[in-house]
Amino acid sequence: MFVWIALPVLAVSALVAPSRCPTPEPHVEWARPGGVVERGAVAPQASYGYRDSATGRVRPPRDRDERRRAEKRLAAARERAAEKREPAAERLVQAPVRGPAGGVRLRLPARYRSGMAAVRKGDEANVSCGRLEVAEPAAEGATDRAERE
Amino acid sequence: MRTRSLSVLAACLLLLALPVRSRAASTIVLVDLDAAGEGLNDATPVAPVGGNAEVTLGAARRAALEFAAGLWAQQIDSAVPIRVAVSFDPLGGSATAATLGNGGASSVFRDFSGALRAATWYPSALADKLAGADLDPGEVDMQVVFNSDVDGAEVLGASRFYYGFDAAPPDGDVDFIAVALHEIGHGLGFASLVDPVTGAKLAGYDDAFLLHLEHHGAVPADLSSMTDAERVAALVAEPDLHWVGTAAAAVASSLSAGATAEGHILMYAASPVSSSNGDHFAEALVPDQFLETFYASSETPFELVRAVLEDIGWGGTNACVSGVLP
Repeated sequence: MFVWIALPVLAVSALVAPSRCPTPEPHVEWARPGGVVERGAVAPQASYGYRDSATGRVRPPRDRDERRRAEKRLAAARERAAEKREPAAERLVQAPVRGPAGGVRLRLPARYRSGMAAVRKGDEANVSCGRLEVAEPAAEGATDRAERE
Repeated sequence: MRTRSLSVLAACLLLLALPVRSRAASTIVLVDLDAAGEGLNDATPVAPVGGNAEVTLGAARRAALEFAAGLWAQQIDSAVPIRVAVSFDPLGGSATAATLGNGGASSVFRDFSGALRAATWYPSALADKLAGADLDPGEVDMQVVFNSDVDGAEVLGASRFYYGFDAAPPDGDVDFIAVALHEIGHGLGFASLVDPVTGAKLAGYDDAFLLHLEHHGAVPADLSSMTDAERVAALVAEPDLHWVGTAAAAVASSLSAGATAEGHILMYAASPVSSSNGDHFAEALVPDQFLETFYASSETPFELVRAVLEDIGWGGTNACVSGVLP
């Protein structure tokens, strides 16, 4: 009797128990001497590792502290490179949604908002709108259109 | 006795089986981002206008926003409160031209439980409705900003926002409720996420709005199946850029101009391309719609705009009285 009760309970417990899997280590790529391995996005100086002043060659970190410092430096360099390519506020970052519904979220940069502009013609206010870029060009575009009309 | 009990039971079952006419309603939460004494909290005295009885500028702005949001709350149906971040900020401008405001979804979601189509972006408020839960708790669904400079003496000259509820602004003034309806409409999903210059889809995925756009006469006709270059061409193809949703087609007869015989609705696609292309109705529509490119009046009907939202996933809607705000 006990078995018939205990086995299903144990089976369900195993299914719903929190995962004990270890947190995966950050993915790190090693630099080749004088080269860049981070998909071309990171400058050679920011490659993971240490440059030997005598030989000029890049070597792996010697210990855990050196490795942590190198990882931190590389992460900062990646961030700077990404920021240079596309400012953080404009970046399209997809992230998994936590919760039972799942899915993927993307926070929209402000440029995806719709802007609305007004142009005065005499005593009348003509109003036009469009996706937000910057305030003045939106208004200038509206002016052009109003003048054409 | 037994027969009578069975009859009562049968009657109850019959009542349960009868279709219940749902009342479209949603809760819109306006999140005031302005500090004390500015924007929505500006204490400058104003005179009551057009049914708006408030006597300070901030209170009049809040009342007008509540009015506009209340109109939307009656038109759409969602069990999940829709959070709208609102602020008045000095966006600048000149005596003749200025940005009135801007608005849009703060996030989009794809591939969540309840999504109508895989690999397709849905604006936050709609995604919440479809999922039956807030997918991004603690975050707003859309953000709307209005230009506080319009109420000053320099920007747009003597023009001001008109905060009355009666859609009767004095000549030269801008009906604030029309602007608010327009921007909240974009935030609810009346907006394509395609880059109008490059034709690229957002992160390579379809969006719920894009699925109903067609370049009439092109092959392929649907913008979803096109290459980026074909989409760029479609977005300047007026009058051949059409909305082809079935709900909109069903009410297309309400237009005396701007719809094709098969019920396709003309969309704004003038050349040269601007960021407005594909996101608004064409100006040819009669009667005017508040989601046209150019503002006409806040007295325009909701029917067609609501049908477009129904096409993208907001589902069947009908008017009802709704509790509103904050």
